[in-house]
Amino acid sequence: MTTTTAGTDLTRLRVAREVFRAFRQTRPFWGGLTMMLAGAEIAWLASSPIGLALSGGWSTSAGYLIGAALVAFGLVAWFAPVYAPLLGIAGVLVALLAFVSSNVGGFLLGTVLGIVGGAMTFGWGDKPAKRRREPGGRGA
Amino acid sequence: MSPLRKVPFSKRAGTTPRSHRPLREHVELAVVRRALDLLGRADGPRRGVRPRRTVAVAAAGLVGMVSMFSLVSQNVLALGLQASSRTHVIFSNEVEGSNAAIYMDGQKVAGAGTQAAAQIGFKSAKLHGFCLLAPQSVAGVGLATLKLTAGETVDGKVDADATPISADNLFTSTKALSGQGDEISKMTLGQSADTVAATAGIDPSTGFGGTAGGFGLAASTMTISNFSSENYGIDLRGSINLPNLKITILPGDKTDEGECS
Repeated sequence: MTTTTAGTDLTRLRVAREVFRAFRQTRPFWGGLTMMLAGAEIAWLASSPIGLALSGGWSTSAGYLIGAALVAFGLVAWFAPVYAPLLGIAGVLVALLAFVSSNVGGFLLGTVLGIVGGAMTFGWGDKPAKRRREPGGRGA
Repeated sequence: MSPLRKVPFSKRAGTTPRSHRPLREHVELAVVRRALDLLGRADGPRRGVRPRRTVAVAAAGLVGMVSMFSLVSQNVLALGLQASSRTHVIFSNEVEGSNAAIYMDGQKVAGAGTQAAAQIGFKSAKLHGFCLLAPQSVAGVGLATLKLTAGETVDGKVDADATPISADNLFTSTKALSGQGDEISKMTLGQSADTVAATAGIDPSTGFGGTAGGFGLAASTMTISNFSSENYGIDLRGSINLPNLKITILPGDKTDEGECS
C-alpha cells in the first residue's frame, strides 16, 4: 500500500513538472515574472499609507500605480501571451517612468528589472526549428 | 416500448450524469483538460526568447534610462521621491528651509511596527550638496548601499559658486537629525501639532499636520549647516532638481558621511 501511494505521488509529481514545463514554454514566463518582481519592488519601496497615497495625487501614489501596472503587465503576459509584444514595450516605458516618479525607479533595481523583463516579454515568440545534423556528415 | 425512444442518460450503464457529479470531480476534470491542452500546445512550434529582439529593446530601454539620468543631472528633469519603508541617511553641507514645521507622530516601518518620528516639512528648501545613502538587501547579492549624490560635494563646506538644489513641498519622516542651526527666525515652539502646517504656510491638502494637542514647531526660516538626518522616508509632493546627479552602488551597509566625498 505504501509503495503504491509513493508511486502515485511520484507520478503526480512528474505530471506536475511536465505541466509546469508546458506552462513555461507556451508563454513569456520569465519576462512576465521579471516584470512582476520589478513592480513588487517599486511598490514595496513606496510604502506610504494607502489612504495618504490615494488622497495625495500622483506624487504620493506613483509608486503603487507603477508597481501595480508592472505586475498587471506580467500577469497578462502569462495568461494572454498573444499580447506579449505590446506588453513588453509598455513594461519598458512604465519602468522608465518609475525612474523619475518613484524613488529613482525603486533605487534603480525596479527600473532595470522592468526594462529587462519588458524586453524579454517583447522578444518572446516562435523560434526557428533546430537543425538536425544528417547522419554520416557532409561526405555521405 | 418504441425502439426510437431514447434511453435516459441516467439509466445508461457505467455513466453518471454531469449534474450528479460532485463539485470536486468537476474541478478535477477541468484541471486535467487544461493540463492536456497545455501539454498539447507545448508540442507545437518551438517558442522562447529571441535574443536579437530582446537585446535591441533592452538596449533601447537602458539608453533611455541613461538619457533621463543625464537630463536630471543637467537640472532639466525633476525627480519624485515618496516615503520608503527602509531607513536611509541624508547629508548636506547646508539646508536653507523656508516655511518649516516639525511635529511628532507615529511612522509605520516595515518589520518594526509603528515608531515615533519627527515629521519635518519645508514649503521650499535649498540644499547645498545632497548625499543619500540607502542600504538594502538585494536578493542574490546581499547587502548593498545605493549612494545618490547631487550638487556640490558634501564635505561640510558650502561652495558659494555651486548651484544649490531646490525642492518644493519636501516632507521627511525623521528618526534622528543633527546639524548647526545657523539661522532660525520667527519660530513658535510648543505650538499645537495640528496648526503648524497653517502657520508655516504649508497647504493642508498635503496631509501634513499632527493631532491636536501634540508638540509642534514652526519657523519662517530654518537654516541648518552640517545637516545629517536618518529618515524613515521622504515625501516630496513637489519636485526636486538634482544637478550633477551621480548614482553609485556600494557593497555592504554604508551610512557614514565619509562615503559621500
